[in-house]
Amino acid sequence: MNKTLNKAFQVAVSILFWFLVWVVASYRVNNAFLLPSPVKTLRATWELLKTSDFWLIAFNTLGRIFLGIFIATLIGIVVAIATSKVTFFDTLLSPAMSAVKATPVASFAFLAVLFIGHDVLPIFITALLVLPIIWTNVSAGIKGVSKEHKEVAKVYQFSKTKMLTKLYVPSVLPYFLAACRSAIGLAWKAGVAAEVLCPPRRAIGTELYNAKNYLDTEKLFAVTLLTIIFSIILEKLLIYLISKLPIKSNVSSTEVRA
Amino acid sequence: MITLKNISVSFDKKAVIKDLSFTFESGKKYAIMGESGSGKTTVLNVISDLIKPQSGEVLKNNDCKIAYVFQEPRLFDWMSVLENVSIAKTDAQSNKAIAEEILINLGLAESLNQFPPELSGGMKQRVSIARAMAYEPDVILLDEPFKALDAQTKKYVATYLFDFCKDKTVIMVTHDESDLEYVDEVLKIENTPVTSLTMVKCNR
Repeated sequence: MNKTLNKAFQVAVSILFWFLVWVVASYRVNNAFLLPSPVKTLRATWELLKTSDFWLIAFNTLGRIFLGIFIATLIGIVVAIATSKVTFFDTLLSPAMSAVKATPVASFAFLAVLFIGHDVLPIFITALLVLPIIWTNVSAGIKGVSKEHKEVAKVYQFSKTKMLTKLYVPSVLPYFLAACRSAIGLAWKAGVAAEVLCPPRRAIGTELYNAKNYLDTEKLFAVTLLTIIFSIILEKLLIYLISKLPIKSNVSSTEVRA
Repeated sequence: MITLKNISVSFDKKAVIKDLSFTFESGKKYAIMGESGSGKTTVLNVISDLIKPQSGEVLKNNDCKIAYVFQEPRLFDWMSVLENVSIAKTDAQSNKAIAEEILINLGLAESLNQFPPELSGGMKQRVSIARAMAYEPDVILLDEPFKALDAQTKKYVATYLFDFCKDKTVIMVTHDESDLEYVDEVLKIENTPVTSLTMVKCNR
């Protein structure tokens, strides 16, 4: 209990410290166009939260990002299984995955927008950037299943279902959770960046784009703050939901690739 | 009956077994002895199909069920002791009931719901033995199964195991001469690569 309180105290002090840094910095800059004060930002945030229009915008973006993560997860798992089983697929797809990791979001966005609409683009970009993370981690999880355990499974004639649920899924799950943690933050960054670059009708990125154009820095900060909060909530929610799945994981598998 | 017919196995071009032929008779208990690295475990791995020989064949009935107690327990850390044992495929409906009974008889009544990382080395090895028994095999391969057990525990575990295996074939790799009281025949590997299993003692 003391440890929990101590941790909570440390977190509170850290938040207060950075809040004070922000207060002092905005006081020194003394220009709301460049750096609005925390109070003004929180007021702008509250104003946004009060409007039903903003919630609609937020849910639009949330939906796109969630869909992007979902598609990347499905494809990532299939690709990971294929590349773990067939070396040729690994050799074939590795350069493409490396290229995806190294290419700026803007390049993909401007190319992809020629083929797909602004509304679908953030989903595509999110999926594209999350895919390598899911693929890499799930592959590492599959490869991490020990030879010794596979031999036990062979001797005791595990069925394919038993192999999957009792051996592979528990081994892969810690890697998958780590992938989700890394992917959600990146998904928000990539998805919102795509919305800024090629604004859809109603989206957080479009709000950021408009705030920048109208020099509405308070709104820019407010939307950014809310984006961070949504990202954290989505991450915690997904991790919680995965932890509630009736699957035990191999908690000793801690080696994770990001 | 399990027959090894002209088996040859090599790792990285180094022969470990060369043209080995031997027949293990059904229901008999065998001990295989030999120096470390002489190829004893490789013989068990060939019998259990974990290693495919470069030449020769292992003749056994298609429905022959083989259980294997490895040198290290090889338990699944994310499963409870009871799950680790009941996961072994059995023909019985009540997998868990059988597993529970075996574990209790092996002195692990208090550990059914514990997880392997919470167990001592000796307890893990008993769980591994229980898993092999719960499988209801025709043949049990034992690779130094009592190594992690103290003398007293070994006595009752070995007695219970070999009593359970009365009508089963047992092939046990061991370095411990006190294990030989449980077997019918003692086979020795005298040279590497293994070319023969020489019977050095018959307890019958």
